[in-house]
Amino acid sequence: MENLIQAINLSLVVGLLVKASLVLLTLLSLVTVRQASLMDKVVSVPIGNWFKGIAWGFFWTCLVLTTGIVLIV
Amino acid sequence: MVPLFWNEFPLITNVSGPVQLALAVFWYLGLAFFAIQNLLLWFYNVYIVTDERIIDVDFFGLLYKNVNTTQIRKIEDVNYSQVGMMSSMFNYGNVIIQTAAEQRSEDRREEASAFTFEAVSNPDRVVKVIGELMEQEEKEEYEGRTR
Repeated sequence: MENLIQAINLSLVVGLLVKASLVLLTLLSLVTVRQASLMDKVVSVPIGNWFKGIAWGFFWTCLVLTTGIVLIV
Repeated sequence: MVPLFWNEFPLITNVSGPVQLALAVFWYLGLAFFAIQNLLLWFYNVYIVTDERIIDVDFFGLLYKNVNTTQIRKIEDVNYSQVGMMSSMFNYGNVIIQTAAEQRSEDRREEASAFTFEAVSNPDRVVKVIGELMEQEEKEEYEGRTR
């Protein structure tokens, strides 16, 4: 138990919080993808695909960076 | 830019390098998320005026939308307001359209009417166009040409 308490430091706590936040952000970016698609259905505009592309791009960026950070840091 | 000044904050300087990198990544992703979300909300909040009806599509946040539709002939009053220096300088304002059957849908914003076109440019022109459409609709109704 004492070893465990000694192992806890600021970097560990902040690191865990950041990882959890990044995972949450990735989930939110997935929601954004879905929402962009629904918005495009309601308001059909020619530029809609571009917005969907942005949402997808952001999701993949989030996923890659989050995976990297969760595995490496 | 903010991560460049993180060395000024003692709490952040005490965490290890990789965690600082993770914090920077989180900062930029969060910023991008905020920007993309606001871009989507701004772009898809649309007001459509046709010669038959008016459609007001409002999105609030990511998971809530409110779509209001009415026919031109059900419109009673059209008003607009420009409040403040910025709206006068850049000529934008709120156009408030009141309909006969004003059953309010659940609305997150405290709008004066279900059909409130918020911060639209040239609100006087919008009011003029809707007024002309109302007159045209009345004329068609009078002549028995209503669809």
